[in-house]
Amino acid sequence: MFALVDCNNFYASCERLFRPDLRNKPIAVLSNNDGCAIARSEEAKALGIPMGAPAFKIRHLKAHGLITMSCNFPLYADLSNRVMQTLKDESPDVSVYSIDEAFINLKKTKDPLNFALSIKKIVERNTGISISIGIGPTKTLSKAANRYAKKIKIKQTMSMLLIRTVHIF
Amino acid sequence: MNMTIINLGQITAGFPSPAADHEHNRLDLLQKLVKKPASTFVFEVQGVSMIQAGIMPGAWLVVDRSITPRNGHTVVAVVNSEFTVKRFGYQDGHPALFSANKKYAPILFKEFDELEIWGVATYCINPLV
Repeated sequence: MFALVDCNNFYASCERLFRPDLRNKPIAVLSNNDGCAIARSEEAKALGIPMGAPAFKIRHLKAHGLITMSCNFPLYADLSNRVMQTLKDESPDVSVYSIDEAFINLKKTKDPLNFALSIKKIVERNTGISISIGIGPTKTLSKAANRYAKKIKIKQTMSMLLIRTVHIF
Repeated sequence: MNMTIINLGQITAGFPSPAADHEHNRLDLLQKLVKKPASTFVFEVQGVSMIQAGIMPGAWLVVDRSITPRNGHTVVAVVNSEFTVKRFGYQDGHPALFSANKKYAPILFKEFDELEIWGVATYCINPLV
């Protein structure tokens, strides 16, 4: 079994960690030179901002409370390292897949669901970045489970339906 | 064929340093102050609300998020969407944040109030010069 750990709205979560005033507000992080939205908080997604939307197309949403901000990659890299290190402290078999994703091999884990719940708790407490975890028999299916976990947005779902996967939001 | 090369240290053709076998690493402050680098952050303190606890304006506060806050811990908390450093404790059975300055009243958290403790302060580094 594999778990895919994915940070929720990673760049937006990083910005929020040190800006408590941005909690529960629609925020969009813009790409280099403030070109396009590359991260959106849940509230910004609810305003209908698609991934990669050009800044000029979402400018009018500022009237609805949207806050746009320039990206700060040194910050994201630092917090990414913290998340990955925390995962590596909990599991010997972590492969970092991108700045905000990592696969964990659960071959030797007796209870994958409880393990996933516990690393979710530890990562969120130690780093302040919220994560979603998908579990599946292959890396591909764990990624699919992760996507499902994010979509349904409930605290914990166990589903052995179609692809025998477990999702943790 | 595999060959292992072992480094046994430097060899001196002249008189060897008598201190060579007694060298230590220099004191590494970061290692002393930061037990868990992945969950440790540094804040710079503004204001005087913790002055009687020895936390001066301009101090650096080493904050570890992995520690569970307990009664008496100095914590970084979020109050009214702003960071603040206070001592965490209880008053009349309610969780509370206490200043270390008589001018500031404790902040009490009653039912349905939300108290977010961001992290527990482990060290305070005050500038003296």
